[in-house]
Amino acid sequence: MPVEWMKRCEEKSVLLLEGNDDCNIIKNFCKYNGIEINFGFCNCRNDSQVLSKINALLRENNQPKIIGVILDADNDIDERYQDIKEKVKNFYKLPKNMPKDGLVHLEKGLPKLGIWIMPNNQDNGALEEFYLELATDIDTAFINNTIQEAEKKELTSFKSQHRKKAIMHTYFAWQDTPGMPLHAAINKIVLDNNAEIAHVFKGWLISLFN
Amino acid sequence: MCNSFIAKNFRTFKEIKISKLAKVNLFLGKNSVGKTALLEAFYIYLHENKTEAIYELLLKKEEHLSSKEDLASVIKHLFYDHKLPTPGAEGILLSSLNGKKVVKSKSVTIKTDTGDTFDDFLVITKGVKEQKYPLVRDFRDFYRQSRMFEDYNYKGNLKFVYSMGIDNAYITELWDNIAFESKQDFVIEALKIIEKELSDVAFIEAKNRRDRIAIAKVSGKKVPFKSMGDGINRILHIILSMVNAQDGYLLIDEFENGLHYSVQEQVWKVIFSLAESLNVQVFATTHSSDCIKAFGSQWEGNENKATMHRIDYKDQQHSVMPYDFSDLNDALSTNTEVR
Repeated sequence: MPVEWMKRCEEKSVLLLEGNDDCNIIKNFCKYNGIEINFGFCNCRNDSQVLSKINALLRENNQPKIIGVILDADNDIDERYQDIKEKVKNFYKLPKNMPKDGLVHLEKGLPKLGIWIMPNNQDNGALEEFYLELATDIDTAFINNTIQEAEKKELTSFKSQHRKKAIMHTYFAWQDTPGMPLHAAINKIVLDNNAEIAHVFKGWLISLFN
Repeated sequence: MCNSFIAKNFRTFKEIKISKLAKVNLFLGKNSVGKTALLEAFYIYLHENKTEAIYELLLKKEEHLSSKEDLASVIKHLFYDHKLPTPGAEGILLSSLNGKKVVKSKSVTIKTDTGDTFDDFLVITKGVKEQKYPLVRDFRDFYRQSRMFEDYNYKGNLKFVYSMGIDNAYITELWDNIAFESKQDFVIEALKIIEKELSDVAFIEAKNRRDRIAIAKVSGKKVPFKSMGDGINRILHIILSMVNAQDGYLLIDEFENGLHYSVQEQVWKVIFSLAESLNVQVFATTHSSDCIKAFGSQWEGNENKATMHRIDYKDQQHSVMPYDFSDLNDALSTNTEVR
């Protein structure tokens, strides 16, 4: 179950996310980069519920002023963008292709709409790719080798699209207090504020909510 | 069946447009946004005899108005902002739509005009037919005059279930109307939603009363409806009206009144079923989220048989927000407010 701060779905400025990890990582990113959290986190629990929530909010009598959406590209970034376009087609005319710096869209009489497709609006993948790009202390290649060893011994069962997620959680499993909840574990990780992706994402968040 | 609707200059509406309607239609909205007014607009539009409909809405429902007043001072309440339009100006328009266009042959207009003798008239037109009533005369003359028109052949297949309680004589009449058509069973079946042991219904003479009263047979005992709670009386009112509206229309204001949320789903089930089997188009209003959920449960799997709209009022304008079943599902599954 989402905790209270992830349930602020009624805010006038609202950010829709796919799950717990997403909320924690974005909140952590904001803290680390000194971005004011002037929006409500709304944990929709999965990707299809994010899409449902966009539609439901747009039809509300009392629409939000700003709706931000962060979704994983998963296996097909283009298809993901088309899903979103299809869901809002009665309201917005969105650009044909997803802008690489994230979308901030204004249309008269409608909430300002922001879309970011993880990891970087261009590649397939998910939030974990985005996070591992910033968390430079996490030796992704080394952990991946170790996971591959485990795979050879048939000790794994994760789906292929969740490889980065497995890498991230494997790393945390080895730190002080294994099994620590993600929100606590990520507090101890240094993020690279100068990474290109950090600048672009920060720019998107600020231009959307400020 | 009415597939779309527009009302202009009627009651609280400068204009309201609904581009798609189906067999069962639910309208939501905040208090005083005009849900009842919309049903009233449908009532006048669908009624065979417009003056009869107007009389009912203004005199029977709104008791503060008197039939002894002149027509102008009573009828003005039907118009936007309670103001009679100046002679010749655009008045009330009620119509169905063809795309975005008003279907003239199916339009009803109500406006005022100046006659040859410089008297002002109320002019009601329906398609090409036109009726004129002097505005200075009593409202009751307007009503009497309407009864003399040759098209007075009101078939009675349009029923309006008001939000408030039941008029005893009226309910008795509805019951008697279906006596020879074995449709009373539909009513008895529906009443079992609340009272499982109910086996029969009768309207009997009562001491010191001129009208008959409704009683139910429950577990072999005779029980007056008036002693049985709001819910069962509401179902009696709704279903009896619906059965009387075969091949016609049923309007239900504040559907949920008196109905506990646990029974609303079953009442909607009966309504969806009778809408098909008796060929009745239903228009209902609500401001209850329980009612919306209950309606949604019956809408699922019948996507084309129903519509749902929320009436909004913003910046001095009315608008409607349509919901498909999938839209409602999106809102309910993400706990988002629909009302």
